Amino acid sequence: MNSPTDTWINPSPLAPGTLILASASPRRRELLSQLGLEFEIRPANIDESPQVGEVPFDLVRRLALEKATAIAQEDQIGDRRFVLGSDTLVVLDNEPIGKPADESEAVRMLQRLTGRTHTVMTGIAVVDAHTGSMLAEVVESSVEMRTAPLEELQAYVATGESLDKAGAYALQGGGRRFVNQVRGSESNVIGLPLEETRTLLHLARGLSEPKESDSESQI
Amino acid sequence: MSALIDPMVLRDAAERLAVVQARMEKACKAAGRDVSEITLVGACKRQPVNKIAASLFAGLRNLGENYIQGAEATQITLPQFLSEPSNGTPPPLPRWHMIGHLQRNKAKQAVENFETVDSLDSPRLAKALHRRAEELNRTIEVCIQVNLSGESTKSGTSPAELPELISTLAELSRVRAIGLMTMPAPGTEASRHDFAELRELRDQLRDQPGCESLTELNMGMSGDLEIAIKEGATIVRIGTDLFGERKTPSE
Repeated sequence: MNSPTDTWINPSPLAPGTLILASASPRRRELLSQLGLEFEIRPANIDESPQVGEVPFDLVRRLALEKATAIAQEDQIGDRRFVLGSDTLVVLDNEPIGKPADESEAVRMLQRLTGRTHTVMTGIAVVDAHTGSMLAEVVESSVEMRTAPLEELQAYVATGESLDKAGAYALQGGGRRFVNQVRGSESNVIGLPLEETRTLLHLARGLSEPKESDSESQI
Repeated sequence: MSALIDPMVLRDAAERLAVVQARMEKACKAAGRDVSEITLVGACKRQPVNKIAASLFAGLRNLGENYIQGAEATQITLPQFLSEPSNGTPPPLPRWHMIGHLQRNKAKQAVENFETVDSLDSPRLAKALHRRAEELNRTIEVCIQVNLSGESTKSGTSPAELPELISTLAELSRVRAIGLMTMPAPGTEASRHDFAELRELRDQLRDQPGCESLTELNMGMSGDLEIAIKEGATIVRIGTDLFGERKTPSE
């Protein structure tokens, strides 16, 4: 498991006034703030449809890069040269599960996910707008859910938490009740893997990779 | 993202590659060697994809990355540059070398993204690579990084630890050791000494059973290319001479 304390003792990986987050997600914004970073938000509007035959791993990596590149190519970049893009998918049986359109779809999604283990994949990418260099990584976590009766799923969905979440649950909210275990990064399941993001920003600045912790944190 | 490469960038890449190849040929001639014995690896850390693609159009076939994350970003964006008709006849996809220190927890990504790990430095890393390669039904080539200068800041196995690493490798069917790599101590004379020592080490090892495949000498960069070739290098890595100055964003 990742050690959450690492985040707090390590200094901010970037100078203030140099970072843009290319995402509108409030959860990513909150998570990125936990790294002690100051950043501007500029959501990227790109075509997010998958290419023919594209597997989820390649899709999240490509979309993260395209979001970051789209913003890095805008005018008015100035000193905010590092652009962070990301894209998260919930994957079950190699098939992506998106956000539910309505409450009944949310219940059907949770019926599929409960009693099984699924993967949450996040592509993260940093583009340096001044040099055009890029870094990217895909972080995978597996989430094991217990079985749950239909009434419990319906009650959860009725709280309204499901509707704007991939996989129809929020680990940071009431959805945690269904989760037996997360292997890998928990912040990844919420929307942005913190340790890996910090490393990526560190490398983008031209510093070497932070020292290896002796854990096998990646799955 | 536009996949068109500026003709200036294409021309610049071709000129830079020609200069490096001429240096290699001259050094080979002086050493009585054939330049076809030597693999040129373009060290492309923090270089933009259009420049990397331009070097491939110019004829570069091997790329080196220090970071998994750099290779992952380049590999997914490279194909669109290589297949853009206006850039020219598409070159083959490059062979990727991991040239930086590899963390054990990145073994899976290393096997997925690289043909060769040039910096193998421990039995534990070798075992991690074997396990991941087996899962992915692949094999991975490695060069063993040897720390000859004894500097603690440098990665690599010491010559004393080498036998243990080699006997571990002999049991790992998915990891194929192809040679030795070293980063020499600074200074011309120190480099020459370390390069010669690596060659002697390889020659000794090659006589042992099970080590016949240890043929490559992965050593030499821009500043010491000629010395490395004279001392027997078969893989050299060149960065800014091929891709141009990197703008360092750290200030």
